[in-house]
Amino acid sequence: MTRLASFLVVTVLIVPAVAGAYVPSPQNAAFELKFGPYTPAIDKSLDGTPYQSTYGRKPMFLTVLELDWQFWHPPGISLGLGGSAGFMQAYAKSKTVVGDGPSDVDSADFTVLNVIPFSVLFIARVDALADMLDVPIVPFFKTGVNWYVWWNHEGGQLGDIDGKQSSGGSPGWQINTGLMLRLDSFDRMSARTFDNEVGVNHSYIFAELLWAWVDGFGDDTNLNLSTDTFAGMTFLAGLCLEF
Amino acid sequence: MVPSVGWSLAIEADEREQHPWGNDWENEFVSNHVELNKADCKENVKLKFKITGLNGLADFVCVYSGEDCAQETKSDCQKVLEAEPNSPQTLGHSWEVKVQDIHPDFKTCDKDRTVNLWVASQDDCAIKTGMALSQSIVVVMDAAAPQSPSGIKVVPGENKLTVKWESLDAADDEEAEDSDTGSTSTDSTSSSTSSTIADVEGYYIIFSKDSGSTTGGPVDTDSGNGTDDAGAGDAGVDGGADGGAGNSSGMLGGFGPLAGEPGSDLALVVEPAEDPDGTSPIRIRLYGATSDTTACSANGFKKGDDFDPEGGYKVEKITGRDRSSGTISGLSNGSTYRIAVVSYDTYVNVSKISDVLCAVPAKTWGFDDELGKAGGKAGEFCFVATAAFGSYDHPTVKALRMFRDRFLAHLPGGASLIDAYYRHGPALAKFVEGSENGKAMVRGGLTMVALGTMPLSFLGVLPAFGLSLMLVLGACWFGWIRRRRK
Repeated sequence: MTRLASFLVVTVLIVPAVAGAYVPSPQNAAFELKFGPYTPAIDKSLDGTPYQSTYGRKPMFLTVLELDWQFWHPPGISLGLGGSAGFMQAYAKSKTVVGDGPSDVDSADFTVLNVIPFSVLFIARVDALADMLDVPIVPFFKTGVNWYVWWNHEGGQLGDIDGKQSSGGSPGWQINTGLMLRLDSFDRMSARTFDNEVGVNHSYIFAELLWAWVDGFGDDTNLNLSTDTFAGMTFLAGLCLEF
Repeated sequence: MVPSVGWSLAIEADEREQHPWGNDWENEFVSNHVELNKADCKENVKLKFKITGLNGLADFVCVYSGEDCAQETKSDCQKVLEAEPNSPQTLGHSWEVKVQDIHPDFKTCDKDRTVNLWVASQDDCAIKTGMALSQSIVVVMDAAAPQSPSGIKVVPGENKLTVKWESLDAADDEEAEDSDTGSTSTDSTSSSTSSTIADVEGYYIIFSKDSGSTTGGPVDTDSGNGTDDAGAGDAGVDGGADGGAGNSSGMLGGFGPLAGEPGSDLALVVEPAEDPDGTSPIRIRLYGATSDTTACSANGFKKGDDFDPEGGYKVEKITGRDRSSGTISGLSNGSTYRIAVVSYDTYVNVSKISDVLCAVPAKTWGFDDELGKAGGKAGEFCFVATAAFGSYDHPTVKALRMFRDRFLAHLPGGASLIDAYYRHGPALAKFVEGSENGKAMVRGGLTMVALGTMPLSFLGVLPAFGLSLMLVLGACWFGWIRRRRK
């Protein structure tokens, strides 16, 4: 028994150190920071074009933080559950009022639409190419439900619509899919050091397509904040760390 | 005998005009440099100073001013004061001289001038070569007002007005193109003298309620019976029948006065009347405005006036020569405000008052208005639980309400949590209402929540926390006893 224990100690601690073998740290989570343009489909569900009339065609700039729990690592794939939160904002000058409508003249105020998109996602990352064939590409797929909280400031104060505060929340669902480029392949030594010292297993840059249907599942009392940047979708790009 | 160089010099504060933005000369104490502005160039303003190091009182004490009294040429050197030996002045060592007596150029109060002051203690005060002079004090008189800002524009907002002008930082540049769309704009005549010593340091927006002006939205002028539209903020003036005292025009869309001068932003639009009786065949609507001081009421400050610290108007300080706009907030929508801008320099000379505009802060048109017009809605206020149980009076819904009111609302941040629920619950409620399975799931979940929270609801926050603490401590104690027994 004592001999066996000694053997295990030597095997686990000493041999890898002497041989310079790399023992990756456990991988249970992923963190993503991503950015992209986002044009909401507000105007598609209404009689007028309030978004375009106010903010023009310029998309909002969306920033998203995502944290995933990778609960299962079958060969060649990582499955996880994740949550994300982001922020985007559209702003423009309010117009002065002529009669009961807007003039073409900018006022001193800004009219600002703020949106915080929350989502809960199921995530599948296909690690097989990178892990087994040494091709540093990781395709991934995500789907889940979301909740976009929005509010509108007029001249620094919450606006109102028919006497109600100009704010609300729209639930929906979404699909994200894209490709990640595993950066470890470009500098393996640094990647291993990063893992040994910080616990980050893999680093990626990635791009993804996002289809979000955020209209209260068809409920027209909700503001339609679905993606409409490019034919019903948008793209995001960012950095991902697995740890 | 040469007096000591350890001079002190102070300005008699109580005789110096105080500016409303504060220039606390009383506490200002400079050893060898004095800066005077136009406000100091008055008959009763004096410089007061002390001379130290006078060794014996047998000599005259003489004060000279000029450019080069210390040089052999003595050009521009003149005597300012002399005190005889053993006079009360020399005995007291307290000296004062009228600002206007320091140098002939100081009498006119419209020049920039720098002179030096020296003191000598000698057997007479004649100007001669070989005088033993003290170290000099530099006295700078900047009596020239800076240039008045021009190109004044006012952009209204809700309870605020943004005032724009052409920065004097670029005053020497070519006249900037006026690319603004719809703001009121004029050129003002600059002050005839401009400061050469001190740079413009900033601006003051001066404003006051223009009580004599008519306020309101766009001017709707109905020919015929003179019936105004009842549009929002549409308290305009009937054509040609403006009864405002001394006011020949109305206010336009919260934007500025209507003036006779055809400005770039003024448009006269003739529209079909909306009068069903047809007694008002056309309606004349005026959009935009130009500026004209005569368009404001006859009361209040005017273009070209001197800035008056006691003028009764409010002042918003905008620091920085290169600034070209500022916003005054906290105004009342619908009230007319008289607006002008003055510049000030580093010596606190203030320019003449610029063009005067009148403007009205007013409700603006933003995304919420567009959304409401297009049929969009803000968050609906209903309850997920009510949707799931079908009744506001269901026992589970009541239990949840009790939890909300008796427990959650008293937690730190609980009110925000409730507010967030009320804000975003409606969408979830709609979702729940439309799905029987969803209703069943929510009913099950909420029943468990209601049962679990019932003790908290009955106890309230503090007793609940107290009881929880006792339970935790009890459990720890029980575990510790068990471990000891083992």
